[in-house]
Amino acid sequence: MGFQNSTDFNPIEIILDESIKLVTITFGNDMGAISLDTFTATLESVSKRNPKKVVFDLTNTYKISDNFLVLLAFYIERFRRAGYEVELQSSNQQIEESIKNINQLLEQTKREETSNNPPLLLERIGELTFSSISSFKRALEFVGEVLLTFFRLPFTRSRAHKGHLVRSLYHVGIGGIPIVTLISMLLGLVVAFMTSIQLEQFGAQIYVASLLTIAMTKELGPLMTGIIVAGRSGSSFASEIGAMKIAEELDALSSMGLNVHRFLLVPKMLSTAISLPILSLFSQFFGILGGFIVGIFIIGLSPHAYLEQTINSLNLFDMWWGTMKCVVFGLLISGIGCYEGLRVEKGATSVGKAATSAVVKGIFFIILFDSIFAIILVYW
Amino acid sequence: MKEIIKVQNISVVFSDRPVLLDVSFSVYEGEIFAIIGGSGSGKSTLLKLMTGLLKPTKGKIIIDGIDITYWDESNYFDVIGKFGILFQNSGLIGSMTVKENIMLPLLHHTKLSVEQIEAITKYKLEQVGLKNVENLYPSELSGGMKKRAGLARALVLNPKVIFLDEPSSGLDPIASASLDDLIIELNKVLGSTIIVVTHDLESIFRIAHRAILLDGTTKGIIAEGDPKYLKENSPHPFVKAFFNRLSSWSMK
Repeated sequence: MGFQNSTDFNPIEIILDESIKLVTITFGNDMGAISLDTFTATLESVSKRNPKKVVFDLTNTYKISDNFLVLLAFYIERFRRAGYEVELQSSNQQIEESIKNINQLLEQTKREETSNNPPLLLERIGELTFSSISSFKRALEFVGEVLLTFFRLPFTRSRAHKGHLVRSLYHVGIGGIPIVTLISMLLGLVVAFMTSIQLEQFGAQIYVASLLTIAMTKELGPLMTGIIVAGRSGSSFASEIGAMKIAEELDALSSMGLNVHRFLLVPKMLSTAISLPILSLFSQFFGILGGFIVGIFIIGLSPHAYLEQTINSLNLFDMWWGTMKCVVFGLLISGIGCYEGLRVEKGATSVGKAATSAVVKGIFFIILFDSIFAIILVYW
Repeated sequence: MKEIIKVQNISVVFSDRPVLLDVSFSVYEGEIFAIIGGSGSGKSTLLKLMTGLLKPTKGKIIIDGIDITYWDESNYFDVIGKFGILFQNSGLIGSMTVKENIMLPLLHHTKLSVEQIEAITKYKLEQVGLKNVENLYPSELSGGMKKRAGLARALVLNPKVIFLDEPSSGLDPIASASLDDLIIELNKVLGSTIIVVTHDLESIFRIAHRAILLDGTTKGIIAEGDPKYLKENSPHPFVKAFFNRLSSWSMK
């Protein structure tokens, strides 16, 4: 090359010899002067010239950073695959060696990637089946253990468990009253208002009272309370137990000879099963109150007529049925919350996941069991 | 000297991935015994095995003459009542105060009156050098105080064996040195056997009478003996490198 001086100013230069389709890329002695983008842009332009042979001339290069070496190796490999003849001219043994090493590394990772074929559909179905069977088994095991713990409850009284039930009752029950009353009242207002518009067409607005009373006591009260408690307490159980597991608190409990199920689950499940029916009564009362407010102030019914219609539609059996459903919902919500919490393995993300799936599964099971109860009621 | 813990040919395999392979050793009464090894060498697994929190795939663990490998709920406390554990993150129950935490084992396992239990709690807290923290929650304590409170809870049933899982992790040099002093003192005063899982070299040389070094590649014990002796005289380059705090690069 006759322009050795000029390469000092031009760290990278391309010369094309048309007659034999030879591209020579000459690198200057200090590659630190150009950016990675200029470097790649220059090398990208090589294939546009449609060469037969590419020569990388590194004879003047003494300093080249390893990023350039990796890119160089990458382009050498690419040009070879495109069918060009590639030649590397360099006076520095180390550069050639490094490029060879990088090429080996790239090839190795490629081979590893191709050997890790994505699983076949059949494989995936199999894995899914096995994992669902094992998670079903785990859930069944959990139910069994919980039942056993409750069965042994009278024989496992200990001072160490004292006060936990009351504390949990306070959190789940008393703590839940404001949100349950607020949401139920709003629900009552909305339902009464929407139905009154329809009923107005044939002057049957007084039936707003019966509709709301029956709906709240039989379905909406227990269901809304269940959903609110699942969101409030189910998630809190899951994240509390999950965080305890990560902080080795569960290991500490069993190392002190305390049964984790007895210590943590029993108070949580009992308190939820006790509070939920009571919260549901609050929900029913405030839902009906919401309807009352709409009936008196918006529809303009007389308070006496509204109350009379409400009392006539109240059915003791409906209320018992709703209460019974609430006990089952409470056990479901707290059981699922605790189960998800105990499944936490490591890390903060798995606590978040446990809380999410506690709420999602909790709500799903509430609605599933609500439907089952509805079917039982119909075919009784 | 009497053997208090005997670990016989223990292997643990987690779904095809071996963690420990054919590990055997003994711990003698009244000594401070260190289990050391790099990250991922199975130290914590070994501790969980020895405390019955995990069951081995193969092998046997005998503590004070009782085979604890296959306990069930009926004899669990006979076994674990013999030892106290200080967990790495102290293991204090976050929803209970320090006092309630320390009272818990006594409330569950004894018929002492609450007044008596409170007195014991106060004494144990004094023993580990804590004052005026009874009514604080674990989250309100500093790292060193948490470890001390956890230690007080581990001591509360006067265990024969005390397990300490990385007592110096997350502590500043002064706090961890004073915790070392406390460990030495407890060993002298109470005569308890103390088993420490750690990779804090300074503390190993100060407190441990004997140590085993676990190796992550062979999944077994690579050296056993007095750490000060091993540091100077082990023929094995990995052992020498570990005790002299050399990297695997400088070994070559």
